[in-house]
Amino acid sequence: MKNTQLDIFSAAEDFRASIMLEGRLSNSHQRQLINIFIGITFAAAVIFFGSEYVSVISLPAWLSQLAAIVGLVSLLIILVASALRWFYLFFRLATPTSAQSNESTQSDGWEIVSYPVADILLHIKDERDVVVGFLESRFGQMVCIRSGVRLDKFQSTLINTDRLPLPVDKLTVDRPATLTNLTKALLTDDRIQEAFLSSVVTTETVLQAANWVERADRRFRVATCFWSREHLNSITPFGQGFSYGTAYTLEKFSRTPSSNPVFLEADTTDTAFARDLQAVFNIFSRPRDANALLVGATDGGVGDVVTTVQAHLRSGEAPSILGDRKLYVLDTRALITVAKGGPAGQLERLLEKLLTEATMAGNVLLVIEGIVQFQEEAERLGVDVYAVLDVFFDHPQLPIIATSSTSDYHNYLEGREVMSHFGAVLVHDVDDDTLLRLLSEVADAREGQAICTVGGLQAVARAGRDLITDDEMPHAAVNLLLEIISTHPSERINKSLVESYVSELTGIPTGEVQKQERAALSSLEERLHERIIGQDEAVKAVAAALRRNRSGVEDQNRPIGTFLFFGPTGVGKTETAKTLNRVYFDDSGMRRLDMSEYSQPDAIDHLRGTSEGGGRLSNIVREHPYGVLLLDEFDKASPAVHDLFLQILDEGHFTDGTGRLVSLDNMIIIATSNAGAGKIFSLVAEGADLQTRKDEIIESLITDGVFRPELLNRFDATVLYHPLSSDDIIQITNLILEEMKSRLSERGYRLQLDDDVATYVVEHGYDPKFGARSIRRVIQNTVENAAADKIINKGLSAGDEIHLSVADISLIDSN
Amino acid sequence: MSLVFFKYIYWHYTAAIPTLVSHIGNAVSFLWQFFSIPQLLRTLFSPWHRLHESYKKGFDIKDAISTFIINTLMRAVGAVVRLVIVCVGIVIMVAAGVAGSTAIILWLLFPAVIGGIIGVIVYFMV
Repeated sequence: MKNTQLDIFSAAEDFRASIMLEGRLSNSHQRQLINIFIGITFAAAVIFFGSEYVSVISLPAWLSQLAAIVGLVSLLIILVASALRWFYLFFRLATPTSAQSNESTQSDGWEIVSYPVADILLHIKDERDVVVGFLESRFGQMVCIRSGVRLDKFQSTLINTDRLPLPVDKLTVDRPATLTNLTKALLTDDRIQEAFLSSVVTTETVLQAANWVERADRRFRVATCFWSREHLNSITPFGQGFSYGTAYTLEKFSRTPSSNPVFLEADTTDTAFARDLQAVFNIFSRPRDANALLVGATDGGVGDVVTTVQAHLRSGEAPSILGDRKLYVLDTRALITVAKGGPAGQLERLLEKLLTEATMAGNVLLVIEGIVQFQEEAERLGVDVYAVLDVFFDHPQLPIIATSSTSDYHNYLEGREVMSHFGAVLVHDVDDDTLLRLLSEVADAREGQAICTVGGLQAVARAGRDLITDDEMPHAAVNLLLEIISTHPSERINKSLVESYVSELTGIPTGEVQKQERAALSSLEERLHERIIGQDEAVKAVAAALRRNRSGVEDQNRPIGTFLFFGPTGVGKTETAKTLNRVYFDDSGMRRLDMSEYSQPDAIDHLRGTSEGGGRLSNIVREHPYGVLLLDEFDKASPAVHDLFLQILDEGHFTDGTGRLVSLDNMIIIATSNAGAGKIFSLVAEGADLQTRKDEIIESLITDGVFRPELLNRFDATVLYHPLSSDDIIQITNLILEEMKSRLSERGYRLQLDDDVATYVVEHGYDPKFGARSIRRVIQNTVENAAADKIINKGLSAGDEIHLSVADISLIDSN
Repeated sequence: MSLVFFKYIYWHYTAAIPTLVSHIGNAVSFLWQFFSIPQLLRTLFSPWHRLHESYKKGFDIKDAISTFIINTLMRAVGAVVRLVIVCVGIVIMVAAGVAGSTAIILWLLFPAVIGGIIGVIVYFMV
């Protein structure tokens, strides 16, 4: 049955007293009033009863009686008013918000609207205009702020438009109307949608903001309602410790988990790590060897799961199998340090004592972070940790959680005997929605320092995923957010602020295309053609790929652009990469790999690295995650290396030898190859149009086994470089000579060349097999040498002119 | 104004009462958990803080008697402390139950009491 407008407004009326008191009587005022009336009642009672015994107090009896009665009545009224306020404030806590449940909740009677919606409806002055209520209620205002709009501007835009009645039909009716429902219904109105869009805020962002405000309100109310069953359950029982022993040595050698403490406060960790937590709890319910090994890319991410287990134990939400256990993280470093300073066998004795006490105590959940490193360090002291632990692994009184990095797990644990005592849990990455909720909780906890918007959190999540390459999610994003909040006190943390911070941090431009960059992108072809003669297809392909990426049209989880340039040597392939780097990346990011060095079977290890250390490719990308990666002579790399790039070109990342993810999302990958040059020359000799025969040339590369078709298909563009035409050669020669002129002018010389010098160079130096390289060599051997001779032999100095004719050059050439 | 008053009275005698009862129930159940009464009763005769001495290998009557006495003492200490806590817990729970029942009665009488007091004051003032 649908709720009518009357039902909804009448339901909101039920909340009026509570909302009115909420606005006029803060918690602290309420407490003060209660104290004052208690004081009055008590004082009046003392005066009334005391006057019989102490003559000093000589107030008329009726006055003290009246004061006591008025004080008591006022106190009772305040208490009952508080009860009424609290009742409505906490009433909705029993039912889930739409954010938490997609299942419909039965609505009956006054469960028609939620507290925030009632607040909005009660701010409506004219029943025909819900917008006023939305913009004047603190909840509506918060939705606008979280969405990232300027409230004053937004209010003046919307309040002056036509009235908007409550869109009753569009409110979800099969469960209490929540703030998200109401916002969604309001957004169906074109004017509201336009108002948000004019502030560059999408409908999706506004809904996320409403959802956030709703969840934050709920969290606040849950935290305030200290008498709720959940709160009471989380209080550590007084008598709990009397049934257990004490793990004295472990208490001495324990520390907090290596995770951010925000994971203890956040509720979303339950959802974020739900699968991992469930897997851990399932392992603990095994009859034997109930120990879990958490495996993750870095310690941080795994530590977050450990902290979440700890939060479950504290709140009493852990399964009964873990009962009243307390989590202790073994401080292995302290243990090793103490053992090193002690007599031989100290570590083994300490460890045995510690484990025995922990088992006897009966309420310990032991965590050993980085178990492989602990074993390695202990081995240096002659102790086999796994052997010491072996006796305790099967003990039901001592469940153990160990952690390990993925690489350590694969190299030192997987398939080994020790793993028969553990159930392995590979820690999962969190999805985008959960990550956003997690970040919003972190932001709520730091609200006093700075106010975050949905856009800001989305930018943090994106940066954490794509740009922070040395940490895993959600750890990276949470740390980034905390860093931004602490460095920008009292500021609004929005998308642009986050993007400029991340750009500064990583050197990678993020966010919307700025004016200067827009100019660079729109004139990219011209800028590239300043250095690259001919090769229109290549220039167009590269420029188009960059524009696609920076405009946000393209899938962001791939490299910016991937190209295979093939054709004869010296025709501009490497020059294109260099020019692109100069024009777009400010001459700072180009890294070059000679792929002919990676033709052996072990090449893959040299590129990816091993568990012992990083590889060439992984190191390059980690140190310079943004720029051009030039892979020279790509055809000469081994098939295994081609397979590695098959993944990189497709997904934008690969896993290095230590098991960590290396992302190339912010790179342009340019592979060059001279393969097919013979075929190209023979087609040119036949006078064929190369562009129309390009497929034939590529087919020959596949037939000859140079590249596999699936690899070629992975590139954004496979670009054919033509042999240079005579016009191209003249232009290139002039370009190189101009470069030389500018080099000399930097030293104060004015180089003057006769018009026929360029023609002489081309006629005497150009070799189609070597392309422009042969021109550069001839210029070096003739023009540069002739200029050097003149400077030295004629004693020229800065400001002098160097004039070179064909005769000067030919003299040098003949020598 | 009168509508607000009747709405209040309706709330006072309908929704508010089950909520009050449920909060009192929560408080009593919390005290039951807080004092760990079931757990303490289950482990009533366990050694205090699980401290005990193991019997040495080989039979030595003196050692065996000494160990037996120490372990019995540990159990006795444990039992006494636990029993005291259980008793304190039960007393507090009973007190909470009585206070809760009084609160419910006061709640039921509250409008009448306040109305009566105000009526008396007004009567004498006038």
